[in-house]
Amino acid sequence: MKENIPPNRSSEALDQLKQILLQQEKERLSTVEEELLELQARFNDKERLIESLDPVIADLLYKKIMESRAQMAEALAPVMGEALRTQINEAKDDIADALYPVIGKTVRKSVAEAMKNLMQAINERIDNLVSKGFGGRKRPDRITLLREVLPFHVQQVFLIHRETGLLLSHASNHIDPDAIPNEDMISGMLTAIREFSQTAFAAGDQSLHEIQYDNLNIIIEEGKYAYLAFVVSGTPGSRFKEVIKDLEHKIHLAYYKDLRAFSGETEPFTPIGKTLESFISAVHEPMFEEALAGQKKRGMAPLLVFAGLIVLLVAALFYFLSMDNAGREAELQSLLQQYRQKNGAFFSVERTDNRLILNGQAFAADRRALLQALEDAGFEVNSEAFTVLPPLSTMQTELNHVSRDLNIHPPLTLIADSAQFYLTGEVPDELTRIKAARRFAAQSALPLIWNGIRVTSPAREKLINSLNSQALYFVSGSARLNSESEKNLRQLLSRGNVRDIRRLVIRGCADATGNPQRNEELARQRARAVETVFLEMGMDRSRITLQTKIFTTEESSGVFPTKRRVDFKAE
Amino acid sequence: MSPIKKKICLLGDVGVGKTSLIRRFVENIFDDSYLTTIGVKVSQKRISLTGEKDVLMMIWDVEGFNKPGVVSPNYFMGAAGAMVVCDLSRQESIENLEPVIRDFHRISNKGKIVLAGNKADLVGASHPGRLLFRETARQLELPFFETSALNGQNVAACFETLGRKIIDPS
Ligand SMILES: Nc1nc2c(ncn2[C@@H]2O[C@H](COP(=O)(O)OP(=O)(O)OP(=O)(O)O)[C@@H](O)[C@H]2O)c(=O)[nH]1
Ligand SMILES: [Mg+2]
Repeated sequence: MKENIPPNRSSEALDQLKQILLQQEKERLSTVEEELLELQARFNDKERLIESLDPVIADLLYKKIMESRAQMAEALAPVMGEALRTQINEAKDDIADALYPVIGKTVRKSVAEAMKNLMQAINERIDNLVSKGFGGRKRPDRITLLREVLPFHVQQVFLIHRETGLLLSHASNHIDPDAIPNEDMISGMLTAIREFSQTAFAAGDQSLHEIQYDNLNIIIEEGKYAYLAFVVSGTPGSRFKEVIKDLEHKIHLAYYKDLRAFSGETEPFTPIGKTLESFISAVHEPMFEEALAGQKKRGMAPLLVFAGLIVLLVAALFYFLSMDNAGREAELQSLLQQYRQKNGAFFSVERTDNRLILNGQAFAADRRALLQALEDAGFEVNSEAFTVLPPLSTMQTELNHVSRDLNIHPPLTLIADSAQFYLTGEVPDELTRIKAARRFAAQSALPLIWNGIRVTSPAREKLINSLNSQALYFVSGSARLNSESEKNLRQLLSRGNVRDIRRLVIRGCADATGNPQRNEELARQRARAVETVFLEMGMDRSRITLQTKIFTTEESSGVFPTKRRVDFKAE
Repeated sequence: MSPIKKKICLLGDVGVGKTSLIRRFVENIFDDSYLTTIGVKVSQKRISLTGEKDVLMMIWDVEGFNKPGVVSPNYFMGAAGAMVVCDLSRQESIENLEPVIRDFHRISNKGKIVLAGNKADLVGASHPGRLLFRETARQLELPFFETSALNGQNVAACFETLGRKIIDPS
């Protein structure tokens, strides 16, 4: 019905992006900088922390990660999935409107560069870790933290003919077939954006290899006749470039002739779709896959160590039994078991004669109790490598502080589940989600935290939805709301804060009976009257657009019952 | 059967109605609020031509320009054709057709062209704009249409003619 208004669903994320990048460039830049520092500090701290731990704990952590990968994916999927889906699928042609101004701004570049530098530094560090290790051991928890902050997924792959920008092949990881966006349009836009950036940053080497917005990244791998564009979330590991270069190379080798002769027929390229699909699913494996790729053999090592430990324990048990120490051993096992089952506690035990070496972590109070109990049972305990966690309640208090600082209501919750900690709760936007997790991670110094925070803003959504589904009606021939609508408007505005509306089109409508000039004037007055209310509520005028619509007699009034109205398009 | 994909561009002075023609053709709507296009916007429309394979037109709506040579020629790259648009009520937009076409051909020398004299609804039957437009088209030996994004006149015909030309091997 509303012809001149962009589609209702047009992406919130893109708007957020515009707002973040254009209206608050400076703010954003400094926030990002601040966060980079924070993140860096965090990593430095982490390093120190981990260095002080006995190597075995790294293995245990590692094992835990291996075991609970699926769980992790589950915890993250709802959060990531939703945000990304909205961004890609609802962007469609709005991608144009959003990306142009964005790329055109130099600030974009500097932020992107700062980000990239950091990522490179981190990647290098990971590579170092993985290749050299410390004493031959990896510290997967650092990798894990990183992947958590910036989990990596390939959302879509486009194979695009370079010269024309036409789509040759495409694959996406969307399960929902209705959610498939218009790839043809997107590939055209991507090409246009690349051209634009080439012109805009005319200096030589500046051709666009990466387009970033929000937590989406479009990575471009150029080939002679076609290029591959990967829509990814998070930051790929350093090997990703190699892998995609290889993929591009293979495609060019196999389809060289067809690519060169391409004149609009996409059939020869159909088989590539399968290749791209399998590429996505290979890379899509969330988070750890890449960090661990190529490390599989080594990956078994901790398991072996662990298995070894168990064998050792069994052997020790056997030994004790045979030494007629069965009672004592059982006592020890039940003691350990009891503490092992506590949330957030996990540790291993080594023993030589009467000495126990504890590795792992437990909450402070439990730890003290455990050590006491072991000593009471006559064991000599070395607990240097036994990390002490503050009590859960203390950590929750810390989390409450973080929540308060970031204005998150209700505060986030920390859940301890066996050896893992989950952050849960709801925040209004992605930035806050990441910020909260980082702050808490920095403060709590927990080795591992899963970020299960969700992004929602119920009040805003409610307000936007009701605006988009309601119209206000007027007294015939006047710009005065009828009493019913006046009440509705008040009710509507009580649902949320008008300042949360990013863009509002107020459309004044009238029917065509009578004097056309008068009708136009009336429609305008109606829109103005409603606008005034929004302005009074504190909405920024620049976010409001007024439109008018005169319905002819034949024209239907659309989804609303009468033409004498004001309707909205809100984002 | 999957369609043949082709890229086409809409070119012409600022405000002659390029975006409006595309919206009329693709979405069949007209909107009189004027938002100038910045950069490029890509839309698509699948057209069926009798006796031919369907064509999926990727339509590049390039920002308008008052001086030729301003728009990045990269935008024209790989275009199979262009609709070059003028505003029948604005003489200089008609005079600019030729230099715009020259710019386009410099990048895409085989690209097919049709001319659209838009806003036909604004000018009377014997308006000098109409005459100048027809004269220019004849001189350039290009197919031309007097179009109106407002009432839809000749819009589809103009796009379909371009569609036919770009799949014609000759
Ligand atoms: N009367 C009339 N007005 C038209 C017609 N086509 C476009 N307009 C109006 O002319 C103005 C410019 O139209 P656009 O389609 O935005 O022009 P454009 O060529 O895309 O402009 P740029 O993007 O700035 O280059 C708008 O106000 C349209 O409503 C037409 O056929 N008839
Ligand atoms: Mg335009």
